[in-house]
Amino acid sequence: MENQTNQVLWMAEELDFKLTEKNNQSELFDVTEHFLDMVAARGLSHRLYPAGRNS
Amino acid sequence: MTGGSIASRLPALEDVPQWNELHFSRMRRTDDCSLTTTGHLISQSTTEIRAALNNFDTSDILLLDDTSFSGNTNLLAKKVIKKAFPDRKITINHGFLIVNEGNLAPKVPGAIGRLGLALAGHRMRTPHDDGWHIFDIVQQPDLERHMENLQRALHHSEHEKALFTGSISTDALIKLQVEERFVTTRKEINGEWHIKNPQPLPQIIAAGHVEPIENWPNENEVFDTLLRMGKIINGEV
Repeated sequence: MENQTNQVLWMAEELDFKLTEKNNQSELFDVTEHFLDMVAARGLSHRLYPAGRNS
Repeated sequence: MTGGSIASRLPALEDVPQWNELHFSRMRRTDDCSLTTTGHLISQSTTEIRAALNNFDTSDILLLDDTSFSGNTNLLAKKVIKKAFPDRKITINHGFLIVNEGNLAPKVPGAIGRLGLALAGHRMRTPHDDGWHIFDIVQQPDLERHMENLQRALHHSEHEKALFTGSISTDALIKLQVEERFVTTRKEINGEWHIKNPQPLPQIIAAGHVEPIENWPNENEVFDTLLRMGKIINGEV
């Protein structure tokens, strides 16, 4: 499938703005990034915006 | 319009009066695989907005929101605020974490084209870029059953009603519209069923940003990961 999109923004502002005080925020970052890695097949470009480590 | 989560992080706004009760939820058609927007649920009626802001200086208002693709939400917010105070001169300004400075279609401008100036932390450009709220994938009721249904639906390239439990009818939307709890820029509401923040993965796959699930070699791991995300977000682990 042709993909002309430059980047897919997975807007995870909740990571920063909704979950700051949760103890498991670190695991959430890891799990979310793991998900993005798994679905980022065949040249899919992704960024985790705005607070993720990929941004 | 994020419940104060942005304003509270901006020291420059420390002494500026804030009102965090106004928010909009996008409603989408669930009988259309592109999940087109029907309109917005609105948290406050015109009367409630007037009562809440009546004693404030409303000459210069800064609307803060996480993302603006089309500018629609802010244009609606501007409209209802001005409707609440027809006797006042009000200047509305806009601030976002992410704003779209591209076009939605040829000659159809996105947020910046429609709003004019806006403050933003990040800028994106449709159709070159595209985006979704990642947690809409897992912030769904009865997540375990939801994921099973999603997996099945994506395999068969079709939507299942089970994915959109909580959909409301067009008649219910019209009732909310009369109560000023729903606003739309459309002349009439298309479609039979509507929901806010639906599961976006079918739409993402249909847009070609993610491969169809039958091509995923690690399908079960993906869904296990999504379930884990949901449990963390819901505080179940």
